Amino acid sequence: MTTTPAPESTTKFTAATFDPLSLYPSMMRIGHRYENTLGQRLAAGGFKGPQDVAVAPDGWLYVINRYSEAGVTVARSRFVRVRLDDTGYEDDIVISFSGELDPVGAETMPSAVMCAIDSSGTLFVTDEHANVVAKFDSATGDARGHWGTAGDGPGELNAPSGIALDADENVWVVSSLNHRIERFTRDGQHISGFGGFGSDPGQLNHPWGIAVDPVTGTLVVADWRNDRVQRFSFDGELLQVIGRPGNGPGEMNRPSGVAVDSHGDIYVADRSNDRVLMFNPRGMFIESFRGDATLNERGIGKLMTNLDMVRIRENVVNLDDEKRFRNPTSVTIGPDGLVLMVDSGRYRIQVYRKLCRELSPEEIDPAAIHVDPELT
Amino acid sequence: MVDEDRRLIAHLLRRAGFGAGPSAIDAAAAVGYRATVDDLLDTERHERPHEDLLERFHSEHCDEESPRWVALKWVYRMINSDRPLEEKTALMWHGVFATGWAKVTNGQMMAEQYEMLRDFGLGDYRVLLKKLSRNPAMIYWLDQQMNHADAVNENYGRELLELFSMGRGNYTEEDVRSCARAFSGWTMTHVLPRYPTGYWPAEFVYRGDDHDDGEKSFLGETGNFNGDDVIDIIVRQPATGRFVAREIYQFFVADEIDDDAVEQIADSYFASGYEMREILRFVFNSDFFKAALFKRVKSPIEFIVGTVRLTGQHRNAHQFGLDRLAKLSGMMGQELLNPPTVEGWHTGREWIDSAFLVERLNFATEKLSDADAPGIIEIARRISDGRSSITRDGLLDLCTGEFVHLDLDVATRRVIADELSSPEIIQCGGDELVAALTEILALIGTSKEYQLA
Repeated sequence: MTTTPAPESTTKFTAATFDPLSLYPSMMRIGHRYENTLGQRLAAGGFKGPQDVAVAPDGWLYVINRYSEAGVTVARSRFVRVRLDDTGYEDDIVISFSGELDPVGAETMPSAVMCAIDSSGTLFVTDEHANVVAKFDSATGDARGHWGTAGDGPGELNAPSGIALDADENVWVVSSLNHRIERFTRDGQHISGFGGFGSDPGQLNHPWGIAVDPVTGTLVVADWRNDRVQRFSFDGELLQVIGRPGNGPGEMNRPSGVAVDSHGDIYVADRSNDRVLMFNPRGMFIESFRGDATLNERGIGKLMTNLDMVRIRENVVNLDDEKRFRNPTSVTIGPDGLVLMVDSGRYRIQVYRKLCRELSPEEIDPAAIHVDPELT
Repeated sequence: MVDEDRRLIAHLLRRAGFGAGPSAIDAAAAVGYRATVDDLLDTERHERPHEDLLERFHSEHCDEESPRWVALKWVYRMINSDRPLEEKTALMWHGVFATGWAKVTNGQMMAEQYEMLRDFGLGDYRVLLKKLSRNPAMIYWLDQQMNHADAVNENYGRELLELFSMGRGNYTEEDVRSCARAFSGWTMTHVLPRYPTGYWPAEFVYRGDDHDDGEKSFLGETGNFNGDDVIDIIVRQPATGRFVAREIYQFFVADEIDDDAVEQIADSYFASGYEMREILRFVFNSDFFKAALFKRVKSPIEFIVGTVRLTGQHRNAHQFGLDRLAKLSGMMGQELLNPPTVEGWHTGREWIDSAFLVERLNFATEKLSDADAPGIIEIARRISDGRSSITRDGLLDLCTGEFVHLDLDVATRRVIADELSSPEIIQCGGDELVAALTEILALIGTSKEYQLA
């Protein structure tokens, strides 16, 4: 494994300088509005076990689908391209079955986990059983190679899961069974890494998702089996611990995906609690999402192909459950305040829009910055 | 010469569990046979396996709608549970109260039923029948939702008597009708339709306004019986004791029925107050059980899980390929959660036909010749411990006696010995031993004796 010298750090904070109370959002928070539901379960095509979504520069969404299809003997992940408004749809756009182009030498990536897209439109996908990061051209779906060395040493991959790009377009990868975070160049040269197994602050237990906070230039990691989220500097210094085990407000049960929006607000897919949580940059719990899904045109169309199902729906006493998340696995920030929540267990993506009013520097009350959150 | 205690404990662990590798047999032998029986029955002393890692690293199969996911989880539990008897007993009841996904078509409901069999299968048989009668998968499977006060559907009532408790010839048609009437109004909530969000579980519902509360005559007793009353009457019948005893005997003891042993088990059924745990304690400590080595043909899932437990694979939740094990069981004739009919699977010699046998042999050869399998590595280490070399014949004896615990007959042993290509004297501690070992184990895995438990 070749290790390249680390570029000049873009980290704005270290453990010595990071003060979560100084992180005051540059907006007035209004709330979130449910927008629409993408996908739905379909007999052929559509989403089945969606794991993660990435937004391409051309506005298409790339969705990793992980469930095997009936009759498929070799596990394979499907990739679906869908328009944000659900008006466009393409199946298997990324994986070609040429074999030679395939990143793992078989006819498929067996177990894609998470994905990210850089500014040029290159899609990066982790595969936890193949132990690779594969690259694709998001405009054409053509494979652009892959990298990754299986192992448990620094820079080696052992069940890679979360993936994120920083402002320098270096690639951060969660090596989940090594309980480490690794940084690579876009071409897979190892730059640095940190982590280690345990439950003490700063240690990790099967971490899953990762996000780069664009405001602070720090890393936010879903520390899955420790039921918490941790914030690190790029050098691996622990800056903040968010959440604790449980199912109460702000508590977590196996958090999988994380995302940070342009204001530094942190969204956590609280997977085994069937909800998504939102924290402000200080790590204070703000809001939870249980799901508000509605039938979209695909769902309605599918129902109308089987009128028995239409009749059954009329006999169901409570349709409320149908709106709710089931094992939401990841969250991705979209354009214009959109927040895409991947509702894996219900084969769909629920789209919300963050509502807020941007504040000018004069409108931010400096006195509020250092108010102890316990007293507010 | 095989140590008789280890041989008997290996027999117990094959029957009360899914077989064991040499370390587990060491541990059981150290505490003794009777204490091992008690430990197997005292399930609460052991934790069930954690499954969060399983869900995470098998998310390509983690589709709650799919019976494949439920079957995969069950196979994982069979391989890894420290409560193997709990899983084994659930497997027995699954064969008795055979409910199939082919009709239920709801993975979550099938999962609930199997977990109910696991949770209550070692307890009071009366409670188990009451749970079964409230189980949505069973309700749907046998049309209980169509059993109304003014339009009786006899399906569940009939099968409860014929296939789940007493057996044909021990009740009248009037008993069947009374039984069905007692269960009228025992139904389930409507589930949300499959599309567009997938399946949803259902719950048991008792509708008093749809229950026939009139007087019924049932097995010689008269009253305004409901379903629970009927079950209370059923479990008291001598025929029920014999029915349960036969099921236990054929699943845990031998394919060929021994009437005397069945009578003893039936006595234990009544003496224990229908407590499965106590009945099994009696069975495992009985002479007829200890004399029943290799008197059963392994069912496909027993064959698969037993082999995997020997090779030490799938002990960590993230090993790929667990789904294939469940699928292979289907290809060998036992598709978990989808028995062919309400009668369950035909067992014993019927597990073996030419197609199923080929699947078994291919699977055993593949697994037992895997030099990287942890269980194979452990066996090689144990052989090398204190030895610099071993003869080929000695290695064959050691494998059959110490590690696979088989009684190979003379002809089988000769065929295997003739097939071996390894040197007469094998150097221990290296590749030569592993090559010889995997060759021997793979051939043992294809023997007729390896098909027996």
